[in-house]
Amino acid sequence: MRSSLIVGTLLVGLFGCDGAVMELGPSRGGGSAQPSGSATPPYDFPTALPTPADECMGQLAPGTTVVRRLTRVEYDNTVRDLLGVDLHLAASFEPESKEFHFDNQSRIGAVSEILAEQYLVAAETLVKAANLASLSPCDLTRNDDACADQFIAAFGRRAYRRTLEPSEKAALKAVFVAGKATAGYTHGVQLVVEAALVAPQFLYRLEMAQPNESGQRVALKPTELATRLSYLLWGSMPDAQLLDAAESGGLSTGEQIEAQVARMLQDESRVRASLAHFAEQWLEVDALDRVPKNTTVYPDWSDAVKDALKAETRAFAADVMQRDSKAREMLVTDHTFVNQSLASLYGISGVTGTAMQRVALKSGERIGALTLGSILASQARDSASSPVKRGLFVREQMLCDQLPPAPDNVPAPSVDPNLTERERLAAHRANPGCAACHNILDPIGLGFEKYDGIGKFRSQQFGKPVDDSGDVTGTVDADGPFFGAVALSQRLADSREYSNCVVTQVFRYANGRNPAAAESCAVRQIQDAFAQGDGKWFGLLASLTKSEAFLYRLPATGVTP
Amino acid sequence: MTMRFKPLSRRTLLRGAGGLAFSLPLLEAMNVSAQTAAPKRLILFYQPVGFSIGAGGGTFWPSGTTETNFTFGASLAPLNAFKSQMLVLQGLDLKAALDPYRVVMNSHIDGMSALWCGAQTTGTGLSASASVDQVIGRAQTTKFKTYQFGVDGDGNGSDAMCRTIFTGRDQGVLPVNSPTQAFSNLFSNFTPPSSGGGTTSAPAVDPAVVQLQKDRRSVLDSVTTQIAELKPKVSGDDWQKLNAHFESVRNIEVRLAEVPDGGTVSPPATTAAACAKPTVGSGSDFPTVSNLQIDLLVAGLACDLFRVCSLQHGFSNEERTYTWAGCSQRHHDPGTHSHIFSELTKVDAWYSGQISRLLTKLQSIKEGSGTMLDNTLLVWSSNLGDGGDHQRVNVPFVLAGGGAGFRMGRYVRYPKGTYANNDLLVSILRAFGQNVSTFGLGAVCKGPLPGLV
Repeated sequence: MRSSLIVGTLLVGLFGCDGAVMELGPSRGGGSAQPSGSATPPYDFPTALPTPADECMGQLAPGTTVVRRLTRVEYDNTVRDLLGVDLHLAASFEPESKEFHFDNQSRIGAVSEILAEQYLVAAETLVKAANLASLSPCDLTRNDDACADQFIAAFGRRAYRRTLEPSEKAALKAVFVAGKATAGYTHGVQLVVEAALVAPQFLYRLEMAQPNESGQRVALKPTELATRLSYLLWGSMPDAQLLDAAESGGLSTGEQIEAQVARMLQDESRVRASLAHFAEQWLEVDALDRVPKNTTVYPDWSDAVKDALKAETRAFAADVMQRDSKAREMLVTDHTFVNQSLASLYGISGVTGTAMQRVALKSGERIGALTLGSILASQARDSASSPVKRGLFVREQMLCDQLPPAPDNVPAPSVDPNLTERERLAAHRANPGCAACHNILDPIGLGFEKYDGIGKFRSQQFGKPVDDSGDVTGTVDADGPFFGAVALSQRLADSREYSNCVVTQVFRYANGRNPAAAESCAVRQIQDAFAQGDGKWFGLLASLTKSEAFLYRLPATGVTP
Repeated sequence: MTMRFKPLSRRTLLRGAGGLAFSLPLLEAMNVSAQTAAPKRLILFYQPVGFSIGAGGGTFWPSGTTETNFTFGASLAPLNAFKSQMLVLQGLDLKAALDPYRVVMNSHIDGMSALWCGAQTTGTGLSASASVDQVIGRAQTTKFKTYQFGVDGDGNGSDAMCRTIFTGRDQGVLPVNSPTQAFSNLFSNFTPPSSGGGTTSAPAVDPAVVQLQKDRRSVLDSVTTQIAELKPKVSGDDWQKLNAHFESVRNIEVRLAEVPDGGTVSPPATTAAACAKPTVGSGSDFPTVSNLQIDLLVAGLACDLFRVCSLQHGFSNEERTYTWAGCSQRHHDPGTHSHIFSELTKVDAWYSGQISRLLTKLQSIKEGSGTMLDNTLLVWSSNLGDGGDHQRVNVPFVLAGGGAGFRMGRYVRYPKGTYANNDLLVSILRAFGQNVSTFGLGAVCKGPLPGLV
């Protein structure tokens, strides 16, 4: 089973699979969060329940976001904007640890000795590539210490994303003095840049507003808010206009914040890049690297196909994140991007070469994200499809459900290779201990049986027509039988169930954490507004920037070790 | 005989910094003081998702009547040559991963924190405290306090399923899964001891190297200064994260501070003759990477770049088919939870073969009157015992080498349900100079494991 099953357990705990599915964060619209099944859970899971959203009242409390470090993508974007140097050095840094499949989650990810060295060497490389004169407010060729002070203040403010404290200026000045003493004035300035690039104020998004009393939320400082805005909307540091506004009282009122957000959303390519980065992780494109394929069973599989599937997913993710795109289009868009090797897998003719090009999907065979070959192949086994994995993917990623992991000592289903997945799993579900979970996973995943273990469309298996009948249960408005992934996608696209989950996923990406139980009402409000509004991605980002979770913080209270 | 080593040029130091292969050019800064006594080394060897044990065909446990009279089954047969230097422990439980201590209730994840940390998980599924190697590593004076090798040890990209090594609560350490990356880290700027006999002239000092070292000291000093100044301004969880960064930077600073300007390299006295810069071969398939990582691990030990290390193969929920070992079924199919002992035995035997390869290499390196294996302790285990049943009880711990002073050549069966692996970890800590009586989750500890020394 997969790791994401266990995350968020502090929030809602885990439930036995008794036919009910629990959702992370706010419960389903109007419904009770209480499991509805009648069977006694066969295994002993904790049974803490979230506060039902329809009971929400009292003080809204944002969850705790631990200090966030720049991700590799954010690091590269930031040094590009800070220094005008675009070397993509972070690609070789130690990778982030992920939670909810996102690389920017706040609870995890300490800097190892190796990564600390990588930061240092990258800073040395970057400063050699940078044009110091363009970064300086004064003429560095004057070689006077006053200009060094001005440089520290001006460059330091951009690097630290706020005006420096006197002690911070002193620390950088000490580096300048040391560098100047050993190798001259310019070298001293270079060391200032190096030191800033390895400073915690640069590498972390520090938020230091402290509560007046324990457990009370605090508003972010304007510069901290500006940093949240720029990394959410642009994946990079604040520009001069945003930082100036933050430091001159221009990012304090709701109207001022809204105006800045509106301005930033105008920079469509940066917003789309940020959203596409979100979507690639949401669709788990990296999972393709973790599921090797048996090329005896799948002679069509190759590294070229795998790479093309990843490229397709990235192109797809970027394409569905247009300014006016709606979240529903993720599931029902009628085109994708393929090259020759991928077109062959999809049975599309007339595409040649390795470049990705936009093509219409075969009507009735494929639609939207859920029929992307990358998802179908990664949510499968090496020699067969996997209705269990595909069902789990839909439950977790598209419906934001959380299922308990497989308990100990579960009995084994048949491994007879001559049985269809449907036959194997039917036998498995005959065991009550297995049925509990598989009753909610398998009927969704079995609707994908017309795609084999590498995502190729098939209408026959073992000489018989493939049965792709499925069923959705346990949702507020998407329940019922269906035939095939196309019909499922169309139903989910217009469901409140999916719409709510989109909000939850973007919330996790935006805030670096899962929604806390105490903020379920606030998230519900965003979900309501999203469902009742135009359902567009850009609008959802704007909506999140107005939320409690984004504007306030609850300082972490963990004990200093 | 005194050996001298050439200082490295600045060009060498910076090579690779802007390229794809990211070198770590601090490595010129190696200065290991000569020692007469052989140093002790520790290797933690992780095998994913359990072993071929259980009723109806398990082959892992030896057969035999007494502690010293036993025979390896098919799982361990490739290690027959090392039987007299091995200690097979049966009956230890990963108690921190059992009720009532389970937190995330995922039988794959619970054992990951319990294995080398002896700890419960936190709500994130990560360990609540540090692993034994990291604790021992803190006292090391080698260039790398510890080193973590992996063979696809980050397979599903998430923490809890993949991390066995932790520096502290929630702070998992990613193993270096690429031999190319590991080679670059360890050896790209490393000059091994000269094999042509020492020279007697003083090493030339490269001014560029002197400058670079001074610069780095200045820059890193500003980092630690600024992090320390943040302490009163941030909350506890924030500080924990920043403090881990602080410690990493401090370790680099300490390394730099120990090096005289000019960056001379001293030999690891006891194994200098075996220290050579390895070449790193190509290949990205699992068994090839495993071989390459074992070669680098041994080379790193021989050159005294580290004395405490880990090698993690795979991860806790992997779905690998060990085709190169003759398997046709996935090792741990989440759809089957199967007990196909013929397959599980092949996986065990393959890992036994890899360990045999590692031990053979260690044994080939002369150290004092014995070999490096005599001064090394390898500990082999997994996050599960019987993988098919997801059991964290009766998890095998197989030890090899003389590094801990344990009595080897034995098969020790502990009474069922009596001892936690924590007690073994306590014994290991003591063997490596840590005076502790509990480790990890204190409630499950009884003290050092009896019957080892």
